[in-house]
Amino acid sequence: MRLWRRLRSEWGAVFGRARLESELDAELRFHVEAHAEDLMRAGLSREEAVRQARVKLGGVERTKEECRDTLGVSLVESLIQDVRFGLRMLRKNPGFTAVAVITLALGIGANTAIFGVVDAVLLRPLPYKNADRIVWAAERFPFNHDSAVVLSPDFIGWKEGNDVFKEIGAFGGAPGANLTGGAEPQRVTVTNVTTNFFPMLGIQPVIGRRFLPEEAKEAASHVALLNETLWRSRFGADRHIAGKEINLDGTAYTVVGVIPGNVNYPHADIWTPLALDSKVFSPQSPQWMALTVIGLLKSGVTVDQARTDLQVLTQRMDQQYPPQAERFRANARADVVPLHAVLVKDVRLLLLILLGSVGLVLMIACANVANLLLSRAAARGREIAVRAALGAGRWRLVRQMLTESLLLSLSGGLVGLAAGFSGMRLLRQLIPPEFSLPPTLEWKTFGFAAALAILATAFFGLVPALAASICDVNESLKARPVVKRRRFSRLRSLPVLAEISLSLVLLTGAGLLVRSFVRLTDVNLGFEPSHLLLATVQRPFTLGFDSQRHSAFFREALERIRAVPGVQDAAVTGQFPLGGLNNAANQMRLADGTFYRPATPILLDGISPGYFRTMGIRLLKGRVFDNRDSADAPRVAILSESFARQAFKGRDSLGQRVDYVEPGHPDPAELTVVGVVSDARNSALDQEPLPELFTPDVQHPFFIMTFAVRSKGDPRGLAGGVRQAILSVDKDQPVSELQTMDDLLASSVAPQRFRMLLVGLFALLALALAAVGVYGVMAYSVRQRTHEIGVRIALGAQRRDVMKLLLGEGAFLAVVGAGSGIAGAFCLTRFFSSLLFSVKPTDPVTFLSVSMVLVSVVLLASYIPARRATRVDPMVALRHE
Amino acid sequence: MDKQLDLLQGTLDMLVLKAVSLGPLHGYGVLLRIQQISKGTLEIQQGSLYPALYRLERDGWIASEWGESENNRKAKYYRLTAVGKRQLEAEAEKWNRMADVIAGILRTRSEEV
Repeated sequence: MRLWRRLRSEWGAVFGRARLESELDAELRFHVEAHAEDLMRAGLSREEAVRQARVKLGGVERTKEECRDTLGVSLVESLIQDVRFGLRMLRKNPGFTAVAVITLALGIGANTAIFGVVDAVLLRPLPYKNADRIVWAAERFPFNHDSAVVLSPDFIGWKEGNDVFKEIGAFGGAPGANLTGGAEPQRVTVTNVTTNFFPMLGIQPVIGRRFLPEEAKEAASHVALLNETLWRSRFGADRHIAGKEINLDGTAYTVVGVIPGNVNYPHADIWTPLALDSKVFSPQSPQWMALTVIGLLKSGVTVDQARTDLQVLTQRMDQQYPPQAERFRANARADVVPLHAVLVKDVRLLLLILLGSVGLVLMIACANVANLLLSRAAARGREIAVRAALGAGRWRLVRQMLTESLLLSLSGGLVGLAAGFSGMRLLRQLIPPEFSLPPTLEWKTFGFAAALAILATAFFGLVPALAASICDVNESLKARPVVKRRRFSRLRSLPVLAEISLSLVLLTGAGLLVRSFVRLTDVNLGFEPSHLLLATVQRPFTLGFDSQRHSAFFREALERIRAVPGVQDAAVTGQFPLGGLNNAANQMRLADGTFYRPATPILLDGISPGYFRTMGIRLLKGRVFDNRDSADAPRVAILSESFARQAFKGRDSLGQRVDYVEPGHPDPAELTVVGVVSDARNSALDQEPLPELFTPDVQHPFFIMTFAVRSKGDPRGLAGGVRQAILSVDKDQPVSELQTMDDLLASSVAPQRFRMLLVGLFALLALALAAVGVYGVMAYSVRQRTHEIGVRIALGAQRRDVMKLLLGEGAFLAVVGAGSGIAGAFCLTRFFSSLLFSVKPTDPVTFLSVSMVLVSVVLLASYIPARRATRVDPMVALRHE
Repeated sequence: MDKQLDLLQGTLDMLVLKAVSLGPLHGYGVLLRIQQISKGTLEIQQGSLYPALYRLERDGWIASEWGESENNRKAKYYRLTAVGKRQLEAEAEKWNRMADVIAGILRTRSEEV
């Protein structure tokens, strides 16, 4: 009832506004006149009577204001008033408004964009049915704690023995296959999945059906599911593809369906069923398969329970394995982790660091706008004093100021939202490929930006508003507005100090990333990367693992590539620097019966004779391979420098014997060392070169080889010629990968470059904002002290002294701000360490240089207003007051 | 004239209600009536009268309408509503009880404790 009346009264107050005003007016006029008449009757003159009646009533305007307030006009009406007034103020100061809105937009935009990505990757569930119960399981072996696979026999043990999973599936890699038939042969990725895999994740086919349970038998497993992307690009989105045959490595497969293109885990062009009855699933088999295992937990089962259950099953499997398996299976641990955590592992830290960085940028932006508003509140001291004198209450003034800042942050938020949306597109490469959904601007993201805008307002709107309301009306109304100088200036330097120290934190982070990036690109590669084209060819798996036919093919293709115009030199190799590990061993037996067992894998690489010359890898000792080293000649090896040093510890390695057991060969290969070459960064730019053992490719045939082609001109120009040369040897042989070494290098440092640019951008943003803040404070201080400076100059102070005085203020800000910034950075950069390459998180050079940059920028920002101050004409300054 | 008393906090509303309970009054009339009843001992801040009237009208205890004043001017007259009447009774009752209690306390002498 009361509420209703109140609402009606407010409604009436807002919409019957004109009537209310005229009634209020008439009522008060009547009061004054009636009172005056009484006074006149007592003998006063009319004028005197009216005057006294007015005085008695008190301020008419104030009375009216209170009556309006009573009717609730204040709530709606004064808001409209405030907004209208605020807009007028913002329009009147376009420079101020632009700087404030842009500052906020940058802060909010950067946050919206980063949050959009964080949301897409870290917060949103995976696009699967029951995503919260999907877990990833692996075996951790004592010799390799990072191993992320499950031995195929153990998978069967888990599948049959567990009672924690509603469904457990696995996939494993066939290395890929040559898809032939149709226009040109194409290299495709093929993944073998258990038949329950897609149903478990709730993935429906676009066309056709998923695998049937009986297709998990080897005899029935020549069926395939196509990825929608491949289906569109190669099969022209044929609606009747189901039932048709495709040819993989010379074997016919029947297509049964098409899987949506947004299924990126496990990524593949083609899926075939994992045949669970094949012999690799028996513990007694000479070869096992390495599987990735995904399971759907029964509801109510925790990850820990699942881990314990699988651990018991793994131990129970031990006795089924042959005794020689014990060496690495002993103490194997089962591990279960939510799939989401596995997929975000690599980007989580980076995203959190970016989120922290943009958070800092937003704080700096807020401090900056607070600073701007504070300067303006000071400059508006008189206006506020006048308002206070006219009867505006303290709360009313605070509200007015808050409305103005809310308007600012809303416009900043809107512009920032637009900026964030476009920024989010740029950030897409932060998202791991398994997250097929692009980040979208959702209400959550919008809410985040809106919350930021409102928080920002509360933060920077309150400080100046309160500062404005503590001003002393009497003081301010005097000719010279002195607005509690001391209290004010201390208040004003706080946001600037915060800005300086926060930007130092960001600058330090960026500095560390820049330094580590420089170190990374400065690494001694050990080979000559320019003018190098790499063409990788994978021979059909079906031709066998160890066949002289491979050698013949590669030799023939190499000859034809050498003949392509523009080719300076060419060689063929089993693996190439930064190309990933194709073939590696854990140990080598030396002639004295001891084993060389480095902590890292040993790369095994079959190469053609000209390889080192083509790559620009230096021969240190002995000889390179030549035509002597034919397939049936004594087997020889060339060692990398680190291999020779670690294995032979100072003894001459030439002529030594190195033996290693090849998979599938009962007798170890006995190799005689004929040369040593310099180390090359083979596994990754940021990893020390792995020890490497080279053999002549004809003595160690392999079915995946890469042609390394040294070009005379731009290596990209050779791509077509090289492809044709290979097709001319075998028209069904596609090139799986064709890239220049320059591109490979660029893409291998792309994540580092990207994060360096991003954090660097935020740091520069912070620096620029801090510079603006310092400039604002100093310019304000100079304006306030014009009189004082004039007096000083009139009394004989040199311009140098004035400069020193003002720069001293700037230096104080710089030193205190940088000092606290260094302390903050010192605490925070440790979270960076995993992102850094050969730079310590507390790298003194970085700390020193960014501090110097920051201090110089702060000094420069205070120099400009200080120089203006030295130009003060004492006469003008003194008269001005 | 006797020494004037400042109005106790919170009593203005009650006095206004009482004043208009005796018959419709305009704002100035309310002032005069209270002065008259109190024989000039109560001084009402004129500035706070109108906000009080607007507040009472908003709460529905008094109602207003425009009418002719004794010297033929348009004036806004306030009268007590039924709700206002109940409110006045309640307030008066509360006030009397309070006054009794306080008076009792103030009359207390040391030997009675």
